[in-house]
Amino acid sequence: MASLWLAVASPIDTFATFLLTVHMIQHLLLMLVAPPLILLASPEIPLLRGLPRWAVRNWLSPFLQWPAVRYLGRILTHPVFCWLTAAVALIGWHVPAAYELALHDPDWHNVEHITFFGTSLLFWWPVIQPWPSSAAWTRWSIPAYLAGGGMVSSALAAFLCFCDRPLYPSYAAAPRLFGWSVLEDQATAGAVMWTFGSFVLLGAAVVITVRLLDPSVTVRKPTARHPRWARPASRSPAPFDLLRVPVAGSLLRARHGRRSLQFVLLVLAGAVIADGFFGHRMASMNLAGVVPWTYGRALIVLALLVAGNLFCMACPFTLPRELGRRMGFATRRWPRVLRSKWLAVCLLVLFFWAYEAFDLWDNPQLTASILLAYFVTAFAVDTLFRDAAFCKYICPIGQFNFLGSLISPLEVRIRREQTCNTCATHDCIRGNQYHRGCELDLFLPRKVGNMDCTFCLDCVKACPHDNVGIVTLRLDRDLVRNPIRSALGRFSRRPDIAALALVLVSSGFVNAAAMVAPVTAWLDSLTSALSLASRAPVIGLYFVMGLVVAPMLLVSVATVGGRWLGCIQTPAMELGCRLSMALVPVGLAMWSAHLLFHLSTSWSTAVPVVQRAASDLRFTWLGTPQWITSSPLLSVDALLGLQILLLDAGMLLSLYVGWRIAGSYAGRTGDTLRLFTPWASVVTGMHAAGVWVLLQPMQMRGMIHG
Amino acid sequence: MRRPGVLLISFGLLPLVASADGLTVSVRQASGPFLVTVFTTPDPMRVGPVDVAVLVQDRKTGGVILDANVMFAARSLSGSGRHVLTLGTGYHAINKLLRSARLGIPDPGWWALDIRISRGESEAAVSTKIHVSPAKSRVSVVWPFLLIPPIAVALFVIHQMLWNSNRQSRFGQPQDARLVRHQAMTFKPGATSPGSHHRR
Repeated sequence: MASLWLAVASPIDTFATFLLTVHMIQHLLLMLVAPPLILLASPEIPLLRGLPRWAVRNWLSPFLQWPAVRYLGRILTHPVFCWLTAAVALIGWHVPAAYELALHDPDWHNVEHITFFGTSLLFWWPVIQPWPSSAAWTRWSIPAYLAGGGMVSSALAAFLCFCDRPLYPSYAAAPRLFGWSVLEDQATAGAVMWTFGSFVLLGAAVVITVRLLDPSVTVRKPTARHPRWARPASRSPAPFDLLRVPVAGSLLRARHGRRSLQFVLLVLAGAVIADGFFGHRMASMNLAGVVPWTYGRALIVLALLVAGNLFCMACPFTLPRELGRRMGFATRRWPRVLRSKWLAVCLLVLFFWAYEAFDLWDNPQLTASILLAYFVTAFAVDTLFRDAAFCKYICPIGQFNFLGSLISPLEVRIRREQTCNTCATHDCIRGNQYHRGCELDLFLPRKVGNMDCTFCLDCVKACPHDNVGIVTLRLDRDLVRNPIRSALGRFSRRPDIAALALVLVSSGFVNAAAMVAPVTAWLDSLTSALSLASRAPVIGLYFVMGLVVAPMLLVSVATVGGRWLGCIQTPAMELGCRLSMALVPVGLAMWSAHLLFHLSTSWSTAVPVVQRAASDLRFTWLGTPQWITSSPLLSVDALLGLQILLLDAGMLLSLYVGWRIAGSYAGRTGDTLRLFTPWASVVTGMHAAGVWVLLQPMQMRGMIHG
Repeated sequence: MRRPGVLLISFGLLPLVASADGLTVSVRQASGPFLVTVFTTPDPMRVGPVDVAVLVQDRKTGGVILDANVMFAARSLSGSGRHVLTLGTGYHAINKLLRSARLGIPDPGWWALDIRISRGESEAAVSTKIHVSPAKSRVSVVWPFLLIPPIAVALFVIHQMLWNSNRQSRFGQPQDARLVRHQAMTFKPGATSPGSHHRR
């Protein structure tokens, strides 16, 4: 791997455009050094062992056992095919027209390198015969095979050495380095190829011949048995547990670990509120305009994708809630009629509409007011009601995170079921004299997935058996299954959770679309056509249509259509509730693609904004803010590629989850397909809409290129 | 023995410490009391944002000068009369030895890039020509990524076919047929079965 890196990422690559000799060295590294060394390391074994066993068994194994793949593998690794492809690639790319194309176009240059590396891997395959390949020819034929390769390479090298004119015009035009003329450079390149190529190829032939002749050396024969180190482990490895990771685990389990995280965010929220009310009026120069909208949202979504519901773990609103709780008035339970997600659904819709209608991103004072109202509400609700009613039934950020964490890779879960079966105290939910139990009523042995889990780790601290960990969760598992979940029941009987999912999904697209030029122009023209003084009613209509009417219509049509096509008798409500959850991945992908754009384009805004806020408080030691544009975190093309990649991943996961859910209702593959087709169309349509939005010019919305 | 090792490590680390913000040397020229190296990116340059950076050195000592004022000006040579002017700063250059700026080049074609450097009484100017290619279509950037879903879906379809055929060959008959037989054997009037939501 080091030789590969040396070839393509070291200064050799830079010098290759000036000197043919250096370019030749680069190609020799790609053909004669890196491939044999990589094959000698038997890379397929660590690659296979590095994958989860279920992935190898369920996903890879059918492909590897497919007769067509095996047949193709036999052809690809046959010595004749390997030798010919390597020779054709070597000669073909040295034809002046092809070589010049590679020199002028970086993409073709990459293709050239990939071709050299790939065909050389094939060339060295019969020579090294990495496990588990078997020899197609006798071992005695390999020296001749190598000598044949050496002859091709030597012929080409001789042509380069003795040619009396420059073969590649680009080098004739390049600045001359080290005083070499073009012809000298060309002859040197040929000589390097001749000597080094012969040394490696003939050297390998000699080594193999000696080993064949030496009776004391046992020639490695292809074996049907796995080598000892390649055999599968007899036991599955223990799952990853974040709480057992040395530093992070200790920090999370520490008595004040979570509290210190909350305190940091509380101080930050205080600064945002203060700056919002008293700081600069320009949102892009104010903490209230930058911290929540540029950084906060993007980091929350990224945390959901790479770990879990980390924001709720460090939630700054917990501290005022705690204060309210300690006042001793919290004796009532949250009203039964409101014990669902419907209130949160309404609040989320209201928030998304307000964000657009009142330009929250551009109004620090309003942003600060909303934050303050959030603190006051959290305090008031938890002063009057027990059992974390604010988190479970009201907090829109929390609901967003709960839904998003359904595809997070980590969950709080019991480690050993047997320990819970013998536990009589159930401290994880009841609490004990030192620690309280789960306030969201999640009984750990029956808790499934991340819904309603704030990662508060109260259960971890309360469990006297040290039986709760933060362990890995398979991406699709939480959404596909429909077990009875502690404190939630089945998703199939929770239309409120399905509605929440639909709002999260549709808001990802509607919110991003509201920022692109064609949609804003359309909204403006609609405002003019209706002769309205303000855009607010049109925005309201847009959000009602986008967040309520369109999703309901799509889901109804998909449910009824799929049910009819697949001849399924399951109630439409149940089908709709289950399959709506399949849309969560594509919705979260759209959110992450959108917010990544803002994070990338304004990633360094915090520096001047913090400097400005500090200088307002007479703290000048942070320096003077410089309000100038800077490079984005990712180039425009790289960012767009990453955004589309996220959307692709979201769509594929949605399709897979939907297929599995549909399969649980339809007995036959054909019925599954018919039930799923309308939903697949919805997912594909969302993906197409997302790509269209990402390809449009997007407003910066009061943000600056920091 | 150590010297070659150190040289090898230095050679390997070279791209990390001499990245010059990932830019390409466009021109290196002595002008007035300064030695000026101009870097540009991307390569090839296209319509849109073009990063330009300059390293200003003392002509005699070679020492890097950090407090020089640098002004970048790009003017179209196609006769359109368009030009772009901006001030170079060290603020957003990753390599703090450079003065850099981002020029928004509006048209393709040849452009003259003029760099004016001043420091106290000393002044210098360096000029070079850059060729700007037409902007890449955004679709041309994303099409490889758009191919991923159909390929993944095709692989999934093949996987499911292989999975089902493996099951059939292992158990002798398709899964659905077994399910139907199981339902027929266990069906009792009035009782619900795992497949009762299915009409057939």
